[in-house]
Amino acid sequence: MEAFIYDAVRTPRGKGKQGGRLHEVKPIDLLANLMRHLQSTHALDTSKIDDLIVAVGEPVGEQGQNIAKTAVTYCDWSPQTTGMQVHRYCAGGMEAIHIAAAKIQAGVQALAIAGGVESMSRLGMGAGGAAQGDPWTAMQTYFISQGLAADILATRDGHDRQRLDAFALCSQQRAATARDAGYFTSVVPVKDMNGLVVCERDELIRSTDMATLGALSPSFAVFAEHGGHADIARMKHPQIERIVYGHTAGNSSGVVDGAALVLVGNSAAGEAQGLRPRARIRAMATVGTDPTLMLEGPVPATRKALAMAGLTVEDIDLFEVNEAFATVVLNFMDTLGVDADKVNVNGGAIAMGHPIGATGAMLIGQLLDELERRDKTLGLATLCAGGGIGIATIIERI
Amino acid sequence: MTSIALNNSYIKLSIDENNILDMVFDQAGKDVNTMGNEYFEAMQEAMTHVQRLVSDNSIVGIYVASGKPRQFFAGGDIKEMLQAPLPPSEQEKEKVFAGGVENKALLRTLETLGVPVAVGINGACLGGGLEIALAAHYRVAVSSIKLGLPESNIGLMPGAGGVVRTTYLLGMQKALDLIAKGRQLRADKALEIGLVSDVVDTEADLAGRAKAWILDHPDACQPWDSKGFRLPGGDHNHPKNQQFLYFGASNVLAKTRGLMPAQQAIFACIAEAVKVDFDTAMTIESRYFLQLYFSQTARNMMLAFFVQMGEINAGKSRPADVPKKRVTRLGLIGAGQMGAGITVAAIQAGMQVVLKDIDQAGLDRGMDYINRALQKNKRLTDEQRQALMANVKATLTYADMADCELVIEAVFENRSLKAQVTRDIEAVVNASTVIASNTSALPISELSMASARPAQFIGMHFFSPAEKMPLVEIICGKETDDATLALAFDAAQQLGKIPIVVNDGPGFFTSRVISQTVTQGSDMLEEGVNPVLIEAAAKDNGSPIGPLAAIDEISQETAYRNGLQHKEDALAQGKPWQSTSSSRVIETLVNDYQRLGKRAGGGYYEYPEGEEKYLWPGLKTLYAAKGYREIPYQDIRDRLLFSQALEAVRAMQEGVVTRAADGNIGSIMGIGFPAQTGGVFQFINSCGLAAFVARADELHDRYGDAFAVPQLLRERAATNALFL
Repeated sequence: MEAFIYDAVRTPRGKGKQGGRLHEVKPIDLLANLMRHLQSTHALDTSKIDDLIVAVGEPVGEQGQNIAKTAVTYCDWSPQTTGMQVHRYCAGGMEAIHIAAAKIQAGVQALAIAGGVESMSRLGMGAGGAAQGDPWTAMQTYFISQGLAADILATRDGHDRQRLDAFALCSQQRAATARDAGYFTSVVPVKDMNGLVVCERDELIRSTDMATLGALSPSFAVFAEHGGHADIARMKHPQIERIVYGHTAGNSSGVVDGAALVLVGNSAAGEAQGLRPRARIRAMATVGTDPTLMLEGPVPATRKALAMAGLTVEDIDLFEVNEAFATVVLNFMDTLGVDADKVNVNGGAIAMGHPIGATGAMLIGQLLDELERRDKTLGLATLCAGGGIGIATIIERI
Repeated sequence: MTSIALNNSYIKLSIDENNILDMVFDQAGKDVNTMGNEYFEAMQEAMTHVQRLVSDNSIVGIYVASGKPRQFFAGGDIKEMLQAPLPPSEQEKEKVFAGGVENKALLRTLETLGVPVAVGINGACLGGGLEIALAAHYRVAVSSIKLGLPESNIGLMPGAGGVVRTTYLLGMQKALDLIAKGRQLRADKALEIGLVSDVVDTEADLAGRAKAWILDHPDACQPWDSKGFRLPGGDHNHPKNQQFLYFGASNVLAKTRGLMPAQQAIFACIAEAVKVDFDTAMTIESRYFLQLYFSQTARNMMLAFFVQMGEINAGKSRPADVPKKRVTRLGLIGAGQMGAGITVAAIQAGMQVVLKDIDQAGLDRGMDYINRALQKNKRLTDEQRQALMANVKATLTYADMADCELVIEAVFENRSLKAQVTRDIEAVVNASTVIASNTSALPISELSMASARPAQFIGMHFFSPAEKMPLVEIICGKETDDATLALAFDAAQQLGKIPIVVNDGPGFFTSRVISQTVTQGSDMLEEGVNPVLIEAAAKDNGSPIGPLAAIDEISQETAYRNGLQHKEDALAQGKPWQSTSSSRVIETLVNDYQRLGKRAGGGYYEYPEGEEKYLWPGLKTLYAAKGYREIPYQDIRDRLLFSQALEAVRAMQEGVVTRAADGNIGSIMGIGFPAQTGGVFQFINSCGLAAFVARADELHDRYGDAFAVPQLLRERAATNALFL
C-alpha cells in the first residue's frame, strides 16, 4: 500500500531563548496549534486518525513522557487516536513520519499525523540528561562534542572558514528572500488561548555579511582544549592531525522553538476524509555512520534512498539537507555533485534554526512547498543525527 | 584486660578496663599486614566474636590498631593476586566477586554494629589498610605517616569499599583526586581534607586519643548512615559537578589514551556511586574492581611496579656480599645540563658535590641551572636552597676531587675527550675512588682502557633532565668489580634513582632498544607512510612521544652529528658503514632543508608561536609526493613496539641484560616504553610468546630484519618460558 502526504504544516521558529517570541508557549501548545489547524482546515474526523507520532529531543519535563498522547487529549480529539513519542536525535521528526508511513504501507494503520516539537528555550539541549552523560558510557563510546566533529570533518574536507561562512550567508539570504516573498506556505501562526497571534514569522533569520560572520569566535575549540575531545577523536581516527575550528554560532544551526506535523495516510483513508494527496513517499532510509564523527549520514542515507526508489541524484529536483553545521551540506554537495541551486533553496537551519525533534518534519514541509511553487516533482530531504545516524526521505509531488 | 582466644594468627582481641575492645592486626610471619586470604579468614572469625560481644553488651566500643610497630597496613596481597588465573573461568570470577563482597560485608558490619569504632593509625596506611580505617567512625593518625589509595598505580582500584567510602566522605571531586592519581598524603594533610579525624605526634598517643573519643561518642555512626546525609560537594546533578563529570570523563579517556582501565573504572565508579544507595554503590564498586583484577593491564603493572620494582629497590641486581656504602663527596666533571642535573639530585640527597668544568662560563651556566632547578622545588625555602647550593664546590681544577668516593664524568660523547678526563681524574683521586662515565652509548670496556684501574671504572647512564628522570642505567665493563658495581648502585639509590644493571655492549640496553623505534619511525617515513599515523600510533601504543617528535626534541642536528661520529668510528675501525633510513632522512632534513630541530625553529614538526605543533608539510613532498603508502595501522603500531621488544631479547641473548626486571623497569622509566605493558619483556609475555613470535615473523616478512626473531625467543616460545 502507498503512503501519501496529505498535508505538512509547521510553526514559525522562534528564537530559542528568553525573549524569543515562542518562549512563553508551552511545547504542548506548539503542537496543539498545528493539530487544531489540521483538524479545522481539513474538517478531520479525529476518530479516524490512528496515531499521533511526535519526536522530541529532550523528552522530559513538560515535553516528557508521551507528549503526543497528552496532546490528543488536550486537543479533545477522539480517544481512539493513540500517541507515541519517539527519539532519534535530530532525525526524530523525519523518523516519526517514517514510522507512520511504514505502518500505513504495511496496512497496520490508515491515517496518522507525525512530526516533532522542541522548545529549546524552555528545555535546553541536555535538559533530559543522556546515556552518554554517564562517564563510563561516554568513555566506552568515544563520545565527543558534535560541533567539534563538524570542525574535524570540515578540516578533512578542506572547508575553510571562508567557505563555511559563505554558505551560512547564503542560507540567511535565501531564507530572508523566501520568508519575505511568502514562500513558506506551510507555516501556521502560533496563537494563544484567546486566538491572538503570538508569532507568525520565522524569527531567527538575520541580516548579516561576511565581515560580521567572520568576526565570530569558534564555538567548539573549547571541547578540544578542555575536554580532550580531539584526542578521543584521534583515538578512533589516527589520521586526524590539526583541527581548524571553523564552526561558529554563525555557520551552525540555530537554537529555536517550534513544531511541525505531517498528515500521512493511505488513499482510502484520505478519500474517506475528502483529502487531496500532495505527495507520495517514494523511499525512506536510515544509515549508521561513525558514531564519534557522527555527521556523515546524509550522503549514504541519500544513496540508500535513491537506490530503493530506483532513482539517481540527477532525478531529484530539490534537496533539503539539514544545516546542522555548514560543513555537512558542503560535504553533501561536493560528494554527490549536487548543484547549490538545488539544495536548501529557501535557506535552512543556519538561518532559521533547528528545533531538534521537529526539524525532520519541517524539511518535508519546506521541500513540498517549494516543489509545488516551482512545479517540480521529486524531492529528497535528509539529516544527520547524533550517534552517527543518517536519514533520508524521497517524496514525489502529485 | 581480658584476652579473647582466636584460632587465627592475624587478629588479636582483648577487652580493656573501660570495656573497649582492642582489635589488633598483627599478621604472623610478615613485616607488614596485608589484605589477602589470611586477613579475610581472620576477620571473619574475629567479627563473629565482635558481634557476640556487642549483642551481649560486653563492650562499649572498638579500638582498631596494628600490632606492628610504625607499620599499620600495607594493602592488598599483590603476590596472591598475581597467582589468580588469567583469563579466569566463570567460576573463578564468581568466586573472587563473592569473596570481595563478603570481605566488604565484614567492614560494613563493623561500621554498623551500633558501638563507636575508632582506629589508631601508627604507620603507612595504604590501600586495603586505609579501606579498613575508612570503616571506622574515627581515624586518628600519627601526623607524619602517609595515607593513600595507590591501587591505580598498579592498574587496580580500591575494592574493599575504598572508592565508595572516600566518595561519600569527601565528595566526588576530592575522591577522584585522591584515588585516580594514587596520591599519598601525610596525615596532617589528610586531616585538612577530612580523610582522618585527628592527628597525634607519636604512636604512644594514639590509643588514648582514640579511646577517649570512643567513650565520648557512644552513638557514633557513619555520615552515610546518618539521617539527612548529604553528599559533600553535591551529587551528579549539582551544577558544580556537571562540568566535572562531562569533561572529567573525556579527559580521563584522552589522557590515558584508553590504555589505563583503572583510571576509567575509578572515574566511572565514583560517578555511579552517588546515583544509588550506599550498599548498591558497594556492589558496583566490586564489579569494576573485578574487571580490573582480571585485566592484563593490572597484571602487567602489578608485576612491573610492585614485584619487579620491589626486587630492584631491594638490590636484587646488586652484589649481595658487598656492604652498603654512602657517598658523601661526589665529583662531577662537566657542568652542562647533565652534570648540573646530577648535581641537583646529589645535593638534595645530602651529598657534597665538587663540580668541575673547563672554564668559568661553563661553571656559571651550571650553577645557574642548579639554582633554577632548586627554585622549582616549591618545598624549599630560600635559606634551604642557599644551604644546598653551598654544598656545591664549583671548580676548574681536578685537585678538588681528591677525596671523592665517586666521580662521574659527564663530558661530551667523545672517546678521546673521555679518555683524557679519566686520566686526569685518576691523577688526583684516592686509589679507592670509583670513576663512572655518564654515557648513553660509548662502550664502557673501551672507555675503561684509559683507566689504570679498570676494575673501578663503571658506566652510569643518567637520563635528561637528570634531576627529574628516575632511572640510572648502570653498565658494568668487562673488568668492573663487584665493589664498584655496589657503590654505583648505592649511589644511584642515594640520588633517589632506580638503578638497573646491565653489561657492556653497543648502546647498552636502553639506547639500543629505543633506537629501534626511532629507526622504525624514519623507515616508515622514508617508505611514504603518513607521518601523522606514525606519531599517532606511538601515542596509541601508550608512548609519551612519537619517534619523530622525539628527534625534534633531541634536535636533528645532534642526531646528525652523532650519525657522523658513528660513521667516522666505523670507518676508523675498518668496519663497513651503510647509510640507514635514519641517517638519510636526517641528512636530508639538516643539509637540504636546514630543519635542525625544535629549538632551531623546526624539524619534523613546525612550531607556530602560541599554537599546537604540526608536521612539516615538506615531509609529504619529500617522501609521499604521489600519495601515502597505505599499510595497516596495526602494523605501524606493532613496528614501533615489536622492534624494541625484539631488540631487548637480542640484548638478553648477548648477555647485556640478564634480568627481565631490569629490562622492564629500564624500558618504562628510561625510554618511555608504555607503562601499561609492564615493560619491554612483559609486553612479550602478555602477547603470549608463541603469538608474539608469529606476529614478529609476519612483520619480518613485510618489513625486514628488524623483526627477525632471535634464537632465545624461539626457544623460550617453544616451552612457553616467560621472561620473568
